[in-house]
Amino acid sequence: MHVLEVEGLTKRFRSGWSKRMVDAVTELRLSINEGSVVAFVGPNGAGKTTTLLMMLGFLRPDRGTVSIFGETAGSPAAKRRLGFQSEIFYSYPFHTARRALGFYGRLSGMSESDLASRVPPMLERLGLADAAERRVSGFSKGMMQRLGLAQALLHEPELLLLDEPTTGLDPEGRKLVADIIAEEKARGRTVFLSSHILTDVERTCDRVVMIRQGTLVLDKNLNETTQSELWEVALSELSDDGLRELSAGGFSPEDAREPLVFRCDAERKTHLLNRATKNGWQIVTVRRIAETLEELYMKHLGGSSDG
Amino acid sequence: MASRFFTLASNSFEEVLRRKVVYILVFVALLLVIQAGYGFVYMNLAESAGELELLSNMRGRFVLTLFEMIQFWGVVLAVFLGAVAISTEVKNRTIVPVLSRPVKRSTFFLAKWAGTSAFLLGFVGVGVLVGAGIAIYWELYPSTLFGLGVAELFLTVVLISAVSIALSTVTHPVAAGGGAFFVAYMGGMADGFSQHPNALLRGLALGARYLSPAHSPEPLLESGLLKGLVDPDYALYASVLAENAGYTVFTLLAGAAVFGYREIRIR
Repeated sequence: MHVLEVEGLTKRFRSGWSKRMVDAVTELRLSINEGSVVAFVGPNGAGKTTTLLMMLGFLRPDRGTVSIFGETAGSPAAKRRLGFQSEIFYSYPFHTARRALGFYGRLSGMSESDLASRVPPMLERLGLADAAERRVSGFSKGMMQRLGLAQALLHEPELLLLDEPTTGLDPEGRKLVADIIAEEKARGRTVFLSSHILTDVERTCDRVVMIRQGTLVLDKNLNETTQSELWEVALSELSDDGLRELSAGGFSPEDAREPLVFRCDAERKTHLLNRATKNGWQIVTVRRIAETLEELYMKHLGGSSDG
Repeated sequence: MASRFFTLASNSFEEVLRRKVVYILVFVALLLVIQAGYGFVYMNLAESAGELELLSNMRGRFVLTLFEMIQFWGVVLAVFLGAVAISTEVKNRTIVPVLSRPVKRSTFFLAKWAGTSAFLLGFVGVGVLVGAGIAIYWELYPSTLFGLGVAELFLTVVLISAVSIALSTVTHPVAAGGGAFFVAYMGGMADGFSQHPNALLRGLALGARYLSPAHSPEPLLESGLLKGLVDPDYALYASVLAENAGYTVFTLLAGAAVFGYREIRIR
């Protein structure tokens, strides 16, 4: 059974004064296995938060379903097993950090003894121990984000839904979030991380799902993605005829300077090297390059500022 | 379930206690009560002149005015606090970490109402205690009807807060507050049209009467404090209270059902 399963999820909103229908999410399909850390990537306004809100039952899909541990999304049975951190965490201003965790822990069904044993280490883990008795109204954005993560983790959920958890965090805070995600993964928990900070994704996730204008554009294993079969071949001493021949074969150099650099997949690399050998061109370098997540993002989502 | 309800209700109660605007409203109410104290001058004159019956009547009127003010300001607070109870949670996004937990929306809705009502009952309770203290000090001895009137006072604020919070699940809080205020006084307004020659107005008045909370045929506070009734119909007065208690329960159930079904759009 999948931890999280999304089938044909569709959501439309009325927008603007004309009440025009806008597609927020269209026929989204994905399933997440236990113990995986999945990044949900897309530009602002791509439909990430809308999808998360449907997973939590705040919004109702127009079509399709979301199930969490086989339960309908939004049902208490489904929510019992998940922890959620929103992009910007808001709590009641009169709560102290300790009291906020107690409040959310009780709502998650934790007993007083569980709270007594778990709240202090959680405050310590998130670097909030010194601020435990301070009211959250005086917290910085970074401290609120840490508290938001603490309340999501406190009841030890099996599935973590994190919406931009590093927003407003300094590098130390971002590293802390990455470490926590790695720890949760090591404990066998499943993490669904919505983000557009690609370095965070590369650091923590093992699968990436890209969404654009509410539509799935890529669903790949991150190792496979970042180490795809992309090669860089640098050649020199090509004649004009040779260059024309390559151009006719679909090879175009990255720029016009010598040596000419060609990027291609493994099969075309072999073809290119065969031609170079046959024509007596000089092979300067041949190296395998990793397609970074950023390149992949630009390839699939570049220039699609939806928000 | 009960534990979650209590956690949410007590949090809601504290949230109301920390609303500055509530204290502004209470302060304005107090100012108006003090302003009504001009009658003390006439009471002193009546006492000096030995007009004891007149004095007793004036004192009774003052205590009655106090209770009427408590009722009015209780209704104002009920309308306001009910209307903003849930909308503030959505606007401030504090609803997100709450409803992303295994909390039923109906539990959340009812707990918000319970926390708000606890504050309102406290507000009215303090007012009633002050009013009763003054009445006892002036040796005014109201009848049993007065007790029923006080019960009606408590029930009114609880009912109006229920109407206000329920309406806020389907409409903007300002409209919800206005609607709740209208419902509170709709029955009284409709009475004036119940014999109107225009059939449409008569029909509307009849509809409004059935939709509005029940009204006691006697002003219980006034009758209990100032004029004893010859043959009070306690069963009738009690049935009015019971009907309004039922109205409150029905409104809450309807509100909880609607809130359980509707989408919550977080912006």
